[in-house]
Amino acid sequence: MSRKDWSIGPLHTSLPGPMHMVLKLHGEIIDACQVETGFLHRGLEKQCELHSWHAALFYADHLDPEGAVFSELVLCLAVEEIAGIMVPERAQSIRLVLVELGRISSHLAFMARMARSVGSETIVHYVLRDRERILDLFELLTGARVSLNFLRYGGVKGDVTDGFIERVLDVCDLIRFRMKEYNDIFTFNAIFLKRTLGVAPLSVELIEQAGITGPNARASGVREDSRKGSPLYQALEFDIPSGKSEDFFAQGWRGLLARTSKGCVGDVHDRFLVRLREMTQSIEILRQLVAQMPLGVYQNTSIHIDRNYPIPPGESYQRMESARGRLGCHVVSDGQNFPGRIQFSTPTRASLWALPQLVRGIRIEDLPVVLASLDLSIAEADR
Amino acid sequence: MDTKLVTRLEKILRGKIIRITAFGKGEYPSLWLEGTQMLSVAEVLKEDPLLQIDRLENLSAVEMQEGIVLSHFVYSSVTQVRLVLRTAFLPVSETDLVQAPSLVRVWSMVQTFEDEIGELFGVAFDGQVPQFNLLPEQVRGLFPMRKSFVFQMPEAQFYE
Repeated sequence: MSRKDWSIGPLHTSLPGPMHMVLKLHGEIIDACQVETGFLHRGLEKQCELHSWHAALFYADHLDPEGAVFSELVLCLAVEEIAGIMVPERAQSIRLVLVELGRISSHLAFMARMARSVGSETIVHYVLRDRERILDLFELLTGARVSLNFLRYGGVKGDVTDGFIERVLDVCDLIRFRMKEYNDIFTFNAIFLKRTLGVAPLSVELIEQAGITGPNARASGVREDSRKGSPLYQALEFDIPSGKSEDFFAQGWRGLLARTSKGCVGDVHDRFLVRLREMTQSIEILRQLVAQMPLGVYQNTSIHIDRNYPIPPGESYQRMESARGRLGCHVVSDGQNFPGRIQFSTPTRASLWALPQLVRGIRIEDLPVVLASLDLSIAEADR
Repeated sequence: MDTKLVTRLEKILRGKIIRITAFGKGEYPSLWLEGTQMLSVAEVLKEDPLLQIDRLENLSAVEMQEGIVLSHFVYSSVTQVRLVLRTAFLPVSETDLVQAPSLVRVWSMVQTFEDEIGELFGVAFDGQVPQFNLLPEQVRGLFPMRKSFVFQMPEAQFYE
């Protein structure tokens, strides 16, 4: 069996973003792997320090292009705690609606990447078709489809527009209906099961060593979710799905149901399935939020934060559950009209750390599938 | 702050901490330490049966009046106790590396944070010279996240 080194990246279609991997191959098996990142470092945190508090929010928006609202919210929470800014209940509900829509949107994009990694181009279009409906909702409310720039310290930029609530419910119904379709074309698809069951299981030991959070950890049975226990989600009922490694029966080529080989907890299929189930939970949360949407103002009217507004001295560390895991934000203010320090702790960092150990022993053709299943965002890791 | 927790911390870390303050608006304790005590305090916190601080959530660096302050945000997945370990290091000059102990032996997940802080703030963890992965060549060794770093926009290049 031949041994050789294979270098992939920084730019390659099977990679989640600009990163460099050096693989040591033994035939088609990956013996060892080195990961190099940093190609997408934009100095985002330094930029925040060089501009006003007001502008820092716009930079936070670009932490992860697929989940802009998560970084906006975590920064708002930290700054609001330091300055003691109260947020009206209606604004909190609007924020959470955006967050849960963002989670569904991010998970749908994840599904599209999974489909592409297993070579199923048709499914990509089915999934992106539904994601467009979420982006349409973003556009209806915020005027933007990706970088929303809608949250403000003390509330949100505007109230919900006419018809928004009804359309959110329509999209919830649609996505719920589509779940059967996703299950048919993904979860119970014989080819997809063959490509994902038992592939690259993430052990609890590795999760603890690397500090992995979010759906990747929950797929391995680590049921931690920052939303549980958060005051924002206190009044909402939802479950935390986790990986269980169920038996799957796939439709064979003669139309017979055949039991496929059983996977193991925390494999690629579990990582996929957990996200699918999280979308269902997000839909339930959205329905509750919309049903309980309080009346009132959407912005704290006692303050007006412009570019010269100083935040009092203090510091805060806030965390929230983004679509990829726990997103932390440490904010330090020295009383001036620009931040003393804004630092983000992102979930992708831990997954990247664990990657060399995770891919050791897998076949080279499974590498794109494993990379897609981790839902890495190089933008948020490099910042 | 939880007074029982503070009492426990004072008991098991006697002589190893400078002071215990409330972090931010007082949600959980912040332990100020000497750099030389960081490793031993981390080991005690991890081994203590009542605390079991087994996870590191974040490592943040910020330049304050005290110098470069490292804040380790740690917690226990068993007892749910959260703490912040804080240590200040005074840089000798704008371009000199600051020496700090690494906590990789206690919390392995701190590695990537230390690599990044080493490069951007000029901190040598356990004497390791930082690897340069993030910065372009012209600013390597200037530690752009320090307050002394003067940010200059690169000259615009025009193409005909």
